[in-house]
Amino acid sequence: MHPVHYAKVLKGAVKRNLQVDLNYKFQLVTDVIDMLLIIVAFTVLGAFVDDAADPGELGIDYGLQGFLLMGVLFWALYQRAYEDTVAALPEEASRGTIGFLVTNNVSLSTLLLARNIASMVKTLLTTLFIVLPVLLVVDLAQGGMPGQRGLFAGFGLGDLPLIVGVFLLIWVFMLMVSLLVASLNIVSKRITPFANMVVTALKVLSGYYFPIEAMDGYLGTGVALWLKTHIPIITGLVFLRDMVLIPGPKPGFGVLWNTYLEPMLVGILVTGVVAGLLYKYLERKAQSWGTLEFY
Amino acid sequence: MQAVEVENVVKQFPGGWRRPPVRIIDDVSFTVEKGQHVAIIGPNGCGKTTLLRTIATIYRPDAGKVRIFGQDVFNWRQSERSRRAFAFISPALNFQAKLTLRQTIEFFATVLQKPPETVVPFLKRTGLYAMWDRRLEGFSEGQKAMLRLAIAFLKQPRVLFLDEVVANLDLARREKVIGMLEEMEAFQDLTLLMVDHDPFVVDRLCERILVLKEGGRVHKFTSLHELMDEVPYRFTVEVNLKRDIDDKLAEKVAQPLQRYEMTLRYFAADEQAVHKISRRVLKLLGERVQDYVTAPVSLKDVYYLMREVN
Repeated sequence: MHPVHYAKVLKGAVKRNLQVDLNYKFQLVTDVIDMLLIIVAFTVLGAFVDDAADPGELGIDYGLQGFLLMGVLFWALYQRAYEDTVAALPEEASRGTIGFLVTNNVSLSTLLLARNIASMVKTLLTTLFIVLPVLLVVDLAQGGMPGQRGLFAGFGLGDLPLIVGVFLLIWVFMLMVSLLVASLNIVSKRITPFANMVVTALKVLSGYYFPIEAMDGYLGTGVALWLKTHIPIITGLVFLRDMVLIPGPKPGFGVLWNTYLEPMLVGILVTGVVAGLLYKYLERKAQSWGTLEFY
Repeated sequence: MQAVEVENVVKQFPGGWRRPPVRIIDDVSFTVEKGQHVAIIGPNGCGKTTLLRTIATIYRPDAGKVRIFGQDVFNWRQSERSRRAFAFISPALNFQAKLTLRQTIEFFATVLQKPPETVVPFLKRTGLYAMWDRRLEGFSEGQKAMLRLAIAFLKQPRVLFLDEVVANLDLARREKVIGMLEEMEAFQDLTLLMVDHDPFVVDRLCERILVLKEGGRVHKFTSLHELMDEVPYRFTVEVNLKRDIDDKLAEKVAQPLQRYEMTLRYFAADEQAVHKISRRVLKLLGERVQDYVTAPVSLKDVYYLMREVN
């Protein structure tokens, strides 16, 4: 397909997804409420643990509350897009549009990409206008002051381009993971439990619930370090925490490149190749097996 | 000029764990000339829809070739171009109920690289244009069937594949959809390949028939008139009963006999046979007869005779 036409189709599909999403206002409201409840729960939990324990015992350089809330902010951006993308093909199949679109040179990957972009737009708006302001209010209420102390102690506007760049890299990584999991949906039915398993594993390993650094005794020495440098989403979250939570001067770009960016790019590249190959193989199989339209 | 060429196509699906694959289409070959209107008919499960979906590239054949205006639809270099030439519409194509007609048409127009205005005359003729800013959740099945056709015509295809487009519609809505198709100038120039169970629809829209038999093989590919001529019967005598009778008694009147509940259909080769059957109906069934009607055989009868009698 000509790139210009591809871009138009992608834009049209994103627009259609957003038009549909905006019609389901109850889901939008419950998504926001769910997010606010998670923020409240983790704020209370983090504060309780911070009062009772030394962060050093947990293997982290900052308080658990900040650690958890950065995880909430991070996953607020990616989880809904991942879930929507994995559910996109069964949704299109239930509408009977897959056959029509395939016969009009629109590939399944285009549908998945469009779904992912639409969900990212939605969650980006929710994060920017609800999650972030709520976190700021929580921080200020607890005596925090962006750039000096509290939840955004290490944040400076100069770091913003790098932080946005890392968010984009993680988006690409999660898009690849979504494509990988959604590919299975082309030939198999009801993969939601598997999709949930993948996201739960990534959340646990990225320290959404607890710092894995504190579990060296259980996982084995060096496992946490390996995960932090080989799974892009974990590296990305560590980067965000280090950049935002730790006050003081930041390391130079060379250090940031070696510590965070290079491992992330390698991880994304490997995931992308695996996801692409699996997707193409399963798409072809689905055409042979006749599973393209059936879920 | 050949619009659609199907050459030795075989299609099978996995049979399940440790089971052999199930062959649905077995070595099917035929060609459709430009501008021809062809219907694929046959008994349930003979692979009509699978064949159409394979030609439309939704399924990949296990063997054989499909060409649309000379372009191999499964050759990666030619598939994109060949797909631009045809539109495939089935009743499975549904819509996002929360979107309006305008939003839906705009989306499909983007996908098809056509301006949405292309389809406005069709929408006006079908009355759908009055619902331009209304959500599709309020649309009836008949209106959705029209919308499917609107999307097909939005593409301005050279070949149209229709998979039971009027399925699940009542008689009046079916008539409206078919009437609309018949009236369309664009439809007259199209090459049409369609699957439909309803002989009435096939009779109205197609002049050639591809008959598939069990096992997904071609039984015959012929014109509608030739197919009708091959049937050794010219008339039907339809008898409506007042009360139920024994099957043996019904068969005693004449054979072949098609029976469904209180209606008997007898087949007659000529007018003499019609008179003979009529006399026997009155003699053997007498006052149990509510009424009876004589009519020429239709494609519906041909379909039945081909399936049940041969």
